[in-house]
Amino acid sequence: MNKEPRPHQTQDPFVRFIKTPKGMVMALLILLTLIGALRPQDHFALVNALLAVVTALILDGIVALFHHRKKLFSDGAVITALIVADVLSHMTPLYIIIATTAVALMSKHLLKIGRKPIFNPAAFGLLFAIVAFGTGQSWWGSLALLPTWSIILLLVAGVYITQRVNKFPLVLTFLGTYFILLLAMAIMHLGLPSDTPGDALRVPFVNSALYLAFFMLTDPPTSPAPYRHQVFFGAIAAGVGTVIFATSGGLAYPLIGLLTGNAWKATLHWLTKLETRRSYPETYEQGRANQ
Amino acid sequence: MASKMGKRLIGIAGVAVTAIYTAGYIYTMPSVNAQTSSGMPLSPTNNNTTPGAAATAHSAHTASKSSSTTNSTTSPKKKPSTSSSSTAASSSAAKYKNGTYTGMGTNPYGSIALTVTIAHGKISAVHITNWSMHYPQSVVDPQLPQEVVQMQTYQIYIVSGATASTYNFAQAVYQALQKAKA
Repeated sequence: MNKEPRPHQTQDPFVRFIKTPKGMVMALLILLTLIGALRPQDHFALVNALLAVVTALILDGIVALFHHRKKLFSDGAVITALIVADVLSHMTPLYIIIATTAVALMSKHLLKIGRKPIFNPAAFGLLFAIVAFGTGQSWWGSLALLPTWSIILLLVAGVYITQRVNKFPLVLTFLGTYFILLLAMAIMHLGLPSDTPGDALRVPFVNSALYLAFFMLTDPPTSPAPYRHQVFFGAIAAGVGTVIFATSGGLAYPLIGLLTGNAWKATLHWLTKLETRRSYPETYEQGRANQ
Repeated sequence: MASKMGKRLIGIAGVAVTAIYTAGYIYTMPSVNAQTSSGMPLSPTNNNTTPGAAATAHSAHTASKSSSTTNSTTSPKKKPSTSSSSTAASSSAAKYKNGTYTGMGTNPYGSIALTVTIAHGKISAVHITNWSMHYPQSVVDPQLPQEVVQMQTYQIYIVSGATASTYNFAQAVYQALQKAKA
């Protein structure tokens, strides 16, 4: 009996890849990068993005060779590089673009529990860039520098990808908590004169919060899957970020909030493993052997 | 793997988040509008809005670095500074050499590059040549360049809601004026 091939078997590998959540994230990030670079002053940012992607592919390719992996092309590396390039100002020196991308990818390979990285690589690299180089961050890939209506494009892309990776509780909790805390800050007249809740709720700053929520918080390896944990993760990231915004201002607050959430998730994962090991030593050892 | 969240629940939660955002936006609207429309004069007696704070910070910065392309890792703060008023006063009172001078202001929010044209010893024009800030250029341009020409100083009014851009702009004008000093 002749069986007809299933639709997904007839598609070429590229189409199949684009339809995966990772492929979709990459496609949407490329789209946002191209749209963001439409602003004449940001044309050169495409060079930054290309440089970041090439750097990331080379580094992850070397790591893949070192581990004797068959697949040398790293889609995750491209996503990290695009986020790094989308956030850094287009006037960032090229060596800083390379260094930030390199640190981001190294954090993915070095700071991990099991196979999963602890921290969102792009957030780690970008925070490093602020601390080490004092880099300017324009978040131009969030369409922050384009006309206000372009935020609709960001929202559509973000909602679509959130649905694909099943992270609505995380994103909604993050944004809900963030906006509630900003409202509370405004009512209680908290915050710095240079960084007011009014600023944070408006373009361009709100673009960066949305971009972070949709494309960075939802990163599957560094964010939890269970809905209950997603809610905690979102609340922690928003809470920590807003407290830093209220007390110190600057642009590092969303990154620190996200990295704190990552650390909480990693701690939870580690404690669960520890508990499993203690309660079911045989199951634990079997699981390790299967890895 | 968590099961998919229902579309209805997503819709309700989405509306709730939008409502909270809208409440915050509306609540902060009067203060943002008031600050943006009036602008606060950079009075030496009010440290929170001291004019040229960015320039003062810049001059301290350039003591160790000749270029302003190195950024601060913190947001631009309106630091109290008694020296800023004297620095600013001497700067505005100084005579300048005719010509066109470039200046650049950089902070974690981005960079501004501009040219200051001096004619007959006075500031005759300011043109922003490169804009890479978080805010649209239209928020401060042409307002701030006009203020510099009218007031003959880099001590311009802070455009609230675009504080970082204002400070960067002031820093860039200050740098250009330093080059133009006779």
